[in-house]
Amino acid sequence: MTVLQAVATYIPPVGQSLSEVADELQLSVLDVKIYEKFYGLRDYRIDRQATGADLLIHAARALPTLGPAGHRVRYVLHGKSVPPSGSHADPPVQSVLTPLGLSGAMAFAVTQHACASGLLALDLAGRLLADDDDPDALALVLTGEKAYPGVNRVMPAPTVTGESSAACLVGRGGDGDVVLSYEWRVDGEFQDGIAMSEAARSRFHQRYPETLADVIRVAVAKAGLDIADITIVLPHNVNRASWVRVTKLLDLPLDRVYLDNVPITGHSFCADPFVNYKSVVDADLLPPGRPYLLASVGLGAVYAAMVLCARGPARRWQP
Amino acid sequence: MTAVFAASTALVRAGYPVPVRRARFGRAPGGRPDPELQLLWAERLTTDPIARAGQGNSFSDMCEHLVAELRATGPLDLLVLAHVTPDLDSRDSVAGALASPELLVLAVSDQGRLAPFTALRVAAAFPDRPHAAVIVLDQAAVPYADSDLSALDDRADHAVALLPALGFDPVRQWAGVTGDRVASLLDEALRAEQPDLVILGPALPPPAGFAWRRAPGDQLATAVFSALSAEMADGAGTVDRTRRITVVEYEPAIRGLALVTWSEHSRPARHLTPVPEIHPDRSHRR
Repeated sequence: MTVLQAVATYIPPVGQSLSEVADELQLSVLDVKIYEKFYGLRDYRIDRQATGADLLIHAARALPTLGPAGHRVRYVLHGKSVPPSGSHADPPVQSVLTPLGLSGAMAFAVTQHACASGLLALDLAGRLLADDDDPDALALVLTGEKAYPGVNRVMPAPTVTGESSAACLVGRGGDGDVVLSYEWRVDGEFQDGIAMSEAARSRFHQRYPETLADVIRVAVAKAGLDIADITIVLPHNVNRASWVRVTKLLDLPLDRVYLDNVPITGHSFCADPFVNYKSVVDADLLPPGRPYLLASVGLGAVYAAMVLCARGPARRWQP
Repeated sequence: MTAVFAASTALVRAGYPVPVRRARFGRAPGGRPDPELQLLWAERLTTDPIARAGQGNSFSDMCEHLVAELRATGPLDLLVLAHVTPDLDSRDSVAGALASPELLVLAVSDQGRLAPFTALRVAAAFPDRPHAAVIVLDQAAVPYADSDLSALDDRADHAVALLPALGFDPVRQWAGVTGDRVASLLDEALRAEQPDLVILGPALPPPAGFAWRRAPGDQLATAVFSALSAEMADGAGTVDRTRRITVVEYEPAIRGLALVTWSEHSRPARHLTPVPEIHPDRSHRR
């Protein structure tokens, strides 16, 4: 059993309007209008002073339970969208260990599912714990990366990528939300990601809603549930318009998808579903005992969905 | 690109799966500078990117060659990549290039030379995917200056495929191991393993009381496993008893020590010893 015991997030406190950063992101006046009116995007929220490691540390330090449980953390996984790109001796996931008091843990990055690597890392954390001799061992799953203007310029989906991050404490028991199912699919036709041709991008946009809807259906079925049982979908925050198309295919009311963060955070590498989780818990929108679904899509193209069941009282992660 | 493969020749000819399979890749065709890629690198680095030298084999290209070899000898349902340096094209998706419904592809990185050991540990955590392979990847060229990488082999890119189910047990890791503690910890670990041969990473001291062989110093994550492949190829058909070879690597950058013992007859890799068992940094906190 994989249990999501606690989630904390870091959202850069200052957001700039798309008009303010239009030059930096190479957005025209018309682009800004379309992004805001059609795609539901509004803010570019990054922390220009923070390193990649800082983003992770900020989120992890907001976990009230990490300090007392730090000695039980065996694994620290960084679910990453962008593969390593700096000095090989100084990756973010290693830099966070000493500041967080976790220098005895085995730390590494998990990639290849692009922005769906966060869900992959959560599944893998549960598997590593299940295979561990210590039933009280914990894993810390971190998501969040620096967002560079060039990435925003070449992303095939209309979105704005920010720098929100999340830290998830995972156990194989204890209080928290139980993972019921995990489903993923890779569509290799779109392996070129940001280097896709215009024709491939067009096919990707056509195929995207149906493929994501299908992966969600399979995840829900694997959990032994119907789509109507899902209390809320905690999506990636790429944009609002894509979820309108997906929910129509699922025959799911749009208000069952938590989209309140799309204008605030925009998309954040791998972290979106967890950022949304924290928001719905804080807003008391996740009743105990009810199933919910995390969803994400990564370039490449990787589709992923995970169903969990909320346990314990609402607002349970408040310090 | 010219790929040169090495494994136990007799087994390969017979079409059997082999525990370790290494490959050297010569210069890839094409490889022209890509302005968009240079732009992506430029904004991620604190220094200007440099024009890449090296052989220009992408992780996807190297994996496609090795996966074809692996699939010729049996099914494959899990592929765990392990690498130290980044793929030369950060836009490349190996998972996309190898996409098939039954195959899960993921990668372990940001752990220096210990990434392959973690990849073996990860493979063992998927009992529902018994046909697993680990592919360790080294590209000598990176688009930035890094003095730690100056001694790498710039004549070839390297890859090694491991089949975890064929005798890799146990895998062990220790975190927070300072340089002055490496020798004593290694000695203790080897006395537990009792190998016939120890293959050492370049930063490790020779062990007392055990035969040992030094891995090549011009490779990163593939170094110790290339040496294991060479040892197994050299020894194929010449021994009449179970051999135990313990592969040990130390990563000074993260103060991590890891080992895996390969033997011809051992339990499936899913019964790996949990890691880490020793937490030097924790001892004073408890």
